[in-house]
Amino acid sequence: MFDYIFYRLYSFYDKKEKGVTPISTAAMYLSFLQILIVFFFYMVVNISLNARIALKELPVNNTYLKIGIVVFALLLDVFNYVIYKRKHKALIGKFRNHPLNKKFKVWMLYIIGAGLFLLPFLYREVLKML
Amino acid sequence: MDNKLYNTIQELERSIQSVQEEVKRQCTSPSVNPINVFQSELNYKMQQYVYNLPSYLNFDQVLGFPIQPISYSSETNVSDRGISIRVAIHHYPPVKPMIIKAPEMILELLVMVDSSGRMEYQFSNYFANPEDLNALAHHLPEGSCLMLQSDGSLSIEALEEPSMESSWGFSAQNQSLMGESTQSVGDGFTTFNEGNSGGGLDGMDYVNNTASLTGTLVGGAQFAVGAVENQSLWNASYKARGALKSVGVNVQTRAIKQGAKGLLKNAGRKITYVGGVLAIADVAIDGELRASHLLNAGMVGVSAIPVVGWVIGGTYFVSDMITIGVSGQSIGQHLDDAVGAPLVNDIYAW
Repeated sequence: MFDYIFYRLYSFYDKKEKGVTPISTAAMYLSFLQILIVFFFYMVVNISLNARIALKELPVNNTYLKIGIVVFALLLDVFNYVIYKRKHKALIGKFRNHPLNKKFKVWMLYIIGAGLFLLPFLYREVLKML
Repeated sequence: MDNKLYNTIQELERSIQSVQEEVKRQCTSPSVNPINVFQSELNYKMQQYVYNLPSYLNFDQVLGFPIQPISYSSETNVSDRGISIRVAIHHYPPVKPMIIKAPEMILELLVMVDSSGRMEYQFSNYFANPEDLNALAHHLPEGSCLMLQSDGSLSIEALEEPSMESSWGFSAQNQSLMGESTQSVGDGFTTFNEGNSGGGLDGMDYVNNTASLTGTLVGGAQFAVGAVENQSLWNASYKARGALKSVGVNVQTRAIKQGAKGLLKNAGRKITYVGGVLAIADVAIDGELRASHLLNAGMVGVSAIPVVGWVIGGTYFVSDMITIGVSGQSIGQHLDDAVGAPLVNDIYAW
């Protein structure tokens, strides 16, 4: 799944940026999406468990925790960049004629990203109503 | 008493006197209830008075942040026994109190005027700077001394502490300056919390203040990305080529420009990424969704759109910087203030 998302982001930014930094940009937005997925699952589980695994309960200053998350995100970005720099040519060959290319548009990734950010709040409202 | 406090009390006396004159002017008919007129006039005057209080005390900001109009409050109570007034200036810290131990209340002044016209007042939570303390030391009341407390604060201890809290009808504070009207002999005690005067945001506070930081990161990054499209990059690359050629390295201008463009774009995008992650971390850890989170997350989304995103991000950054320069708060913070409470207060509580 992530390989395909990377391929779509890569081909989009390769076209728009005229080949300046498409791998780096695509890897970065892929990392952001991965973090949003983690955020989504963490929030849903934590809301369901009534904050039993709340990060703010950890015996660490919240500011350091935020810095830690940012460092983790940067490492994830570097990891994705290294991985996809190595295999982006293979991915182009693999997904060039993929049937999803016509159905799945890049703008849908923005909607998915916004959904991952906002859906936990909707989930909480649904739980409140039940 | 130092001059600023003296002037403040003088102004209060003047305000009350003008209320009395106004009541006398209005109460010419027996059908008019003087207490009601007094109450409404006093309310109006005290609203004016509290608004001018910072200028009497010569301070216009606390902890580096300007005092907002919502920070002022006044309460008055008029009865047959006399009048009681409470004016206060509050401070709403724009960052979490766990980082800056900012007091919510900067100053509270309680005033009682009895039916014979004798005025008593009590200052609470008056955060003075060291100069104020020095000035105060020269005006210590007879029979009192300046004492260093175990918590590092200074207090003026009187030999006899007046017990007037019970009659106030408002909650009294330990940190206070009490006294009577200037016609009477002053007595009372004062404690100044020196540790809370002055200071601004340090790096850690700024990290925690994600409403401001994320907006600045995202907007600034887009501004940088937009800037690399500028003609000046070509000129800079041309000059760099000349410099390199003079030391024997022959590189095409186009190659230098392409490399610099890639570097700047990468840096800009990484900063955007950091801003977005920080907004997510803020929501996940605090469990709060504020309007600024939506604004900043939206700006991260916009920044993913080539060209148009850079223009919008750059404009946002410049506007944010201007807003911070003019008001001391970012667009995100203003938005949070305007909205008031977080959109979702505690996501984990349902």
